[in-house]
Amino acid sequence: MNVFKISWMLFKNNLKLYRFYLTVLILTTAIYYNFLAVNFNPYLQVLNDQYVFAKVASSLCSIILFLTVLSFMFHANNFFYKLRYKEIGTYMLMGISSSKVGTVFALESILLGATAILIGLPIGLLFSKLFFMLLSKAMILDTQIPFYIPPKAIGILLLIFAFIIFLMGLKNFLTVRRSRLIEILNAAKIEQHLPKIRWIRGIAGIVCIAVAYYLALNILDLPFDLQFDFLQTTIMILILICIGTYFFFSSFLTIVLNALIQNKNIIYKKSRLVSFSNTLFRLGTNYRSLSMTAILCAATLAAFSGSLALKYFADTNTTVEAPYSISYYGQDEATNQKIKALIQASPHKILAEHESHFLTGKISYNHGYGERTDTCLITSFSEVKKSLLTTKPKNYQQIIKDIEPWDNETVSILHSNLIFSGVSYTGQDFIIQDKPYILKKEVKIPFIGELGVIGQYDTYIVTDKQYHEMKENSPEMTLYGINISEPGNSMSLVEKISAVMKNPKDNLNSYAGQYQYKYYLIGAFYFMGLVMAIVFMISTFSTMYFKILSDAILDREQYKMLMKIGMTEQEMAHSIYTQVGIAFILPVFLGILHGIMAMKALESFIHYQFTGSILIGVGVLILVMTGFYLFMSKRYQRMVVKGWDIYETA
Amino acid sequence: MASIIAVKDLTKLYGQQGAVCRALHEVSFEIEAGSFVAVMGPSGSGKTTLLNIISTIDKSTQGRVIIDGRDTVAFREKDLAVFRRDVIGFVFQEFNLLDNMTIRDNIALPLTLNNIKTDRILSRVQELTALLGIDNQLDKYPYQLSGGQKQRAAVCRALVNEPKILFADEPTGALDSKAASELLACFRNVRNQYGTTVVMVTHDASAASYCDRVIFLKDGMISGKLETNGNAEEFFKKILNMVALLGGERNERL
Repeated sequence: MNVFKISWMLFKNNLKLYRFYLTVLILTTAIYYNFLAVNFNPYLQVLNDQYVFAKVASSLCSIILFLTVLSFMFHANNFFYKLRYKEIGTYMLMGISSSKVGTVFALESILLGATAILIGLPIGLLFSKLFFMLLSKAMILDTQIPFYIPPKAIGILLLIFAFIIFLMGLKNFLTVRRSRLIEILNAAKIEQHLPKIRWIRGIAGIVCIAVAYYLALNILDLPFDLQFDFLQTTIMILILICIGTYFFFSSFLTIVLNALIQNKNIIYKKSRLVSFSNTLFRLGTNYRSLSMTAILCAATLAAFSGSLALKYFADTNTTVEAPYSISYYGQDEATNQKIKALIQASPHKILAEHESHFLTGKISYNHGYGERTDTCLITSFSEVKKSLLTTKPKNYQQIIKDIEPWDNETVSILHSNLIFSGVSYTGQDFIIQDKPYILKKEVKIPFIGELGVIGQYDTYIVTDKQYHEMKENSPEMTLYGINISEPGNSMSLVEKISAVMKNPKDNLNSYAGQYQYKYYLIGAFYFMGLVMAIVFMISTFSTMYFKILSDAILDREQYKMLMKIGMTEQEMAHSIYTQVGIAFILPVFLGILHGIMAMKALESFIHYQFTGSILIGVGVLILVMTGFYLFMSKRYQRMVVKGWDIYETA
Repeated sequence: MASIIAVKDLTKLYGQQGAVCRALHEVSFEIEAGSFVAVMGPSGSGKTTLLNIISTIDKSTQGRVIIDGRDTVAFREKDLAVFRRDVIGFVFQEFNLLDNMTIRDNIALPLTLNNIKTDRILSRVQELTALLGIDNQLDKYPYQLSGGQKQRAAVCRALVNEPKILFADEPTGALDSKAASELLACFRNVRNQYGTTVVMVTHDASAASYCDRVIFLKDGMISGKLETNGNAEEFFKKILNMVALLGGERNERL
């Protein structure tokens, strides 16, 4: 029999073993194709603005997916190699040269990869119809994207996967060829050694994480006058988190567990001794996958909560940008009457009318590089309060309480089309109309909304008394706001109104217009973010799956022995649940903490509270992880206790 | 003295119909409490099978095993685990210590499962290791110890829950002759100190000569018994003669 035939036979015989691995590979191939397809779809390329967002999002996704696929395949490959040590040894004992065995194994892994592509690509093609439908819905595109298969996407997919598969094949070939028979036959007996206690690294890990959290929480207001821009800070936080997490698992956890094991009062209870000792000793090799799990968990949470937050933001920010169904400014009385008549003639009912008053003025402040003077809008607390009682954004009563300024205090309403801002001036001194004020708070609430010229200015709220004083010197301006029924479908009415207005581009704003524009901007990120969250979740699962089952193989002998000295099955189950639990709880907990910090940083530079999105994200993650934990523990138990044959159920 | 182990008509069959292998055939004997007994026999004579069945690791096809007045055949799986933990101790040829625990933790392990107070566990470990001469190795890991020390640690672990019977399967198989004789002396000390019954499977005649009694197995049946008269050298010669008589063992002994 030639080498290829042997590989084919082995591949067929081991299909059951590869089942899970193959499923994940097929799934990732399918998802990967769709990310690439977004990049090469000619119909999408026509839609300039929106397309750029989709393209950036999908490119990011495909790069991250590539990295996770690589690490996942690496882990799985190691797992299978461990399972088949003895098989390799047997072939070598039979007198087959190691390079021939290596070739057989390399060919087998290539067959495996080829199968994944052959099945995954058609599935990806089938899915792409659904994928594009969902994407265009998320981006509120009017047109359907026609079904199209970009040959370039398929070409790149094949190229990338061929590269990964070749790499794995080469790795398998080299590992087998380098292995010595005696090492393979004694593989199970390799002694484990206590991981070294490294105090400095352990403490450095905690310090790194603490500093990163501190920076994330104060991202707009860096301590010690650090002169980093937003991007630099973000990158710094990411690096600190990665190093910190790595040291946390490689060194800090070793120190903690070692201390625990020294304390016999804690450890000599039930099956703790077994689970804690196992975890400590495994840390020497497991810390990489534990840190990886923690970071993937953080990424899952950030992607998921981030998507929810962006959607929430888009929904609520629409009210900030368009506080009223229709609002306009600077028209004469005759035009005002025409507009009212138009609305009354339309099928929409007028629900509320409101007038907001304000002044334009000058504001001076120090923006870090010196004094600066800007044009701004000034209004009184009661004006804002009246407006909020009409527009009724979420928690408006709380907002009203929060924004009331004292004399010589001011609260700024950031201009509405600001999505991200890298700085905060809270607590600084401002000069408004030649008088000093202290900035109490920066908020994003509906007031003026988006309007050509005046919409670009921030609005400063002062006390009613001080507003009246200022009003004496400058003319008051008025914004008319009208709320109508079914504002989402009022685009045709808005067009009619704009026809009778002077300079409608600068003076007219509508909910219908803002909603559509804003939503497809963020829609692409929302949808891609959710897909990303799923991708990260799959990566987390597969990393843990193979890592934990590799441990189970090593533990089998040990539990067999423990049974002989009278450990009951129940106690063993208890010990396994604790051991797998430690492998879950620590990285998931740390990951969640990282993810929350990322969301807090996002909150501070979008100037929004995302508590709801964070809680939903954490809740969903914990729920899914608990389910996965129970599943993994059961599987581990079956493998260890029942002398489970991996060829049966893998 | 009363017997602590009573084996009656024990038969063990392996395999399925058509290819049945009879590992034990109607074996019966009794062992008195506090004695040190060796089971000898050539490879494939059924001695390990016998030990596994008496020690409840394996189940017999027929016959009864009564340990300390209780019929182990009637036990359920869960009771068996508790029984193994409370009444029996094991020593294996390959030590079977856990690599990832210190010697102290390894020995304490069976007691921690019983939720015994930490102070009591620690003093018990101290007492046993002093008796077996490894009390200065407690904080080391198994990979830092010699074979003889590891096996003595394994004996400590087997004894930590004060079992009535200690089973040993080829305990000297992986040891050099000096470590082996030290270990066998330990077994005798334990028997003298705690009155523990020791049942050891071996095919080494010099190891068997440390015992009070030797049971010979061949082809799954008892083929002879010897008892010491107190003179170790004479007993050793008797055992050698018996081995020669039974045949098949000579080559393995050399």
